[in-house]
Amino acid sequence: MKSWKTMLKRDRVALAAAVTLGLICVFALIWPIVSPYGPREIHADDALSGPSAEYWLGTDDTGRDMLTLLAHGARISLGIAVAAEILAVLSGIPLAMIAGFMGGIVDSIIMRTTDALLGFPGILIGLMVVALFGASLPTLMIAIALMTVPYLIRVVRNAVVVEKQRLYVVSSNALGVKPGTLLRSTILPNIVSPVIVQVSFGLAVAILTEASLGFLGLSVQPPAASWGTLLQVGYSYIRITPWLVTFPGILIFVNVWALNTLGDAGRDVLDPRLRDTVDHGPR
Amino acid sequence: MYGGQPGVSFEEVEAARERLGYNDPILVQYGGWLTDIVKGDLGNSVVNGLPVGQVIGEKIWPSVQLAIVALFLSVFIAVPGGVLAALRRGSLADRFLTGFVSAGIAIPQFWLGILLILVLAIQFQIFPASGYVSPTEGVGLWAMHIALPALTLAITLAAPTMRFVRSSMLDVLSEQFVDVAKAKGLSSHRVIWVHALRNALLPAVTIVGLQAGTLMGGAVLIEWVFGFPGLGWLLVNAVTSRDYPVLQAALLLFVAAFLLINFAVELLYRVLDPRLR
Repeated sequence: MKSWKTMLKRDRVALAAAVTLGLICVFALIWPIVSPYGPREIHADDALSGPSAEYWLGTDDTGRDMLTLLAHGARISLGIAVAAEILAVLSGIPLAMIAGFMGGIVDSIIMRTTDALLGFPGILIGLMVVALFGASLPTLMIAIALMTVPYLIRVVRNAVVVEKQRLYVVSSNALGVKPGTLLRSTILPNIVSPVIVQVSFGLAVAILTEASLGFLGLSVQPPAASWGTLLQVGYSYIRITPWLVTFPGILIFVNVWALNTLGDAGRDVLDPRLRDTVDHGPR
Repeated sequence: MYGGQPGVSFEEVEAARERLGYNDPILVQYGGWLTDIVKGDLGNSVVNGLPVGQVIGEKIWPSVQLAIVALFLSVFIAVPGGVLAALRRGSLADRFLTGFVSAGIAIPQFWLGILLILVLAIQFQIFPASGYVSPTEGVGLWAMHIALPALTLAITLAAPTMRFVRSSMLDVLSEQFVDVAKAKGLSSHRVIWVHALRNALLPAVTIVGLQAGTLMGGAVLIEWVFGFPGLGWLLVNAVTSRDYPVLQAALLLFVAAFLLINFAVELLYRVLDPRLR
């Protein structure tokens, strides 16, 4: 924990990223409460109006306040991303630890399956899952988790392989500590940092994926609005109201940048040798 | 009401299901699909009834063109940029290029496309906002139509490549053979662009190769945004209209192309690095 604090102190860009992320979260939490408009409040007369004192970022095609929609969209987009990453962590880490710890054929099976998933261009996995099961919140989360979990598994598995040769693990093993306990209480705490870094990248990928699928109309369905679906609406009015497609994009861009930057900074602290290697996840 | 259309009776739907084999067990359906594939028959689109082979065949060529132009452009941006950043490490140019890299990685690809449409197609009306024209109908027109989607892809692809080129160039520049080359009295141009760059490009070849593989399917959203009638556009259409025969065939093609390109990169790597032979 201490190293994370020093990281933020030394790396001003990382600090800016952390602050940005905090601001977006505060916006998502607070704005829906203090906003004078509801997310489904329609002002048909003011549809597609530009930024003004009344509507700071303008309105969408049904006359809903854009700023309010963005805040509610943040809840949905970030919610999907976080849920997908929780799913990825809960399914990926046990698999990765088993693969790394047991080695042999179990390792091969898990890692080759992972390689197969890595072989697909990311968005194809998302499209496939949504095509098979239809666009719904659980499907989206599973699709996004499937896209990011291979990266997590690879990182954790490699960390476990390194850890298990360390003296403290070998001696615990010699003392007769059961493998399950060994994994949980001695190895797991030592691989938390790489997991946090990878989850940071994973969240960025999740937000990008939700935006892509939402843009294609394959995320949450109206009247619910995520950042992706807002982009879709904005794109269809690109010639009339160019700002509609601009604002959600800026939020996504800034959010993804912040997550990537924090992930990079964290990785530099963990292992300076990995600096400048790009493996954020599928695009 | 069945299949979203009014006036279709239950019997008609059942007859259609029977005819299309949707009532067979899933394994029988899969087996049938697989045997047909081996025979070269990809089935017919459920939307317009055309043979899938024909539907996909029309879309391959535009996608391949887009991929090639985008990759060339991206290398053209990434290599000089990465070398410059490495040579002037810590300078203003380096910091600018590093910023370009983080922005290029974080920006949603299709949103960058939308921004380019906003500025270059709607505001200044230099390029058309969408569509595709075959080069046989005029190379100039073809270039105008392919420019924006290719540029969008190139910018986002160039970002990670540039980062790779920069860091491997930094590694190579500190190696002894570079000093030897300098000591031999070679011009610094020759040392950088011939001796150092050749070694620094090896890791970049891998990443460009991977990108080429993902481009076959990864241009999905870009093709959609620019109304570019390629494989990605076809895929999105197949997903939204639930045209499963087309979807299956397109995915099969993506995976095949991905594996083939990875294999080609492996071979290329051996040509470039004699140590691997």
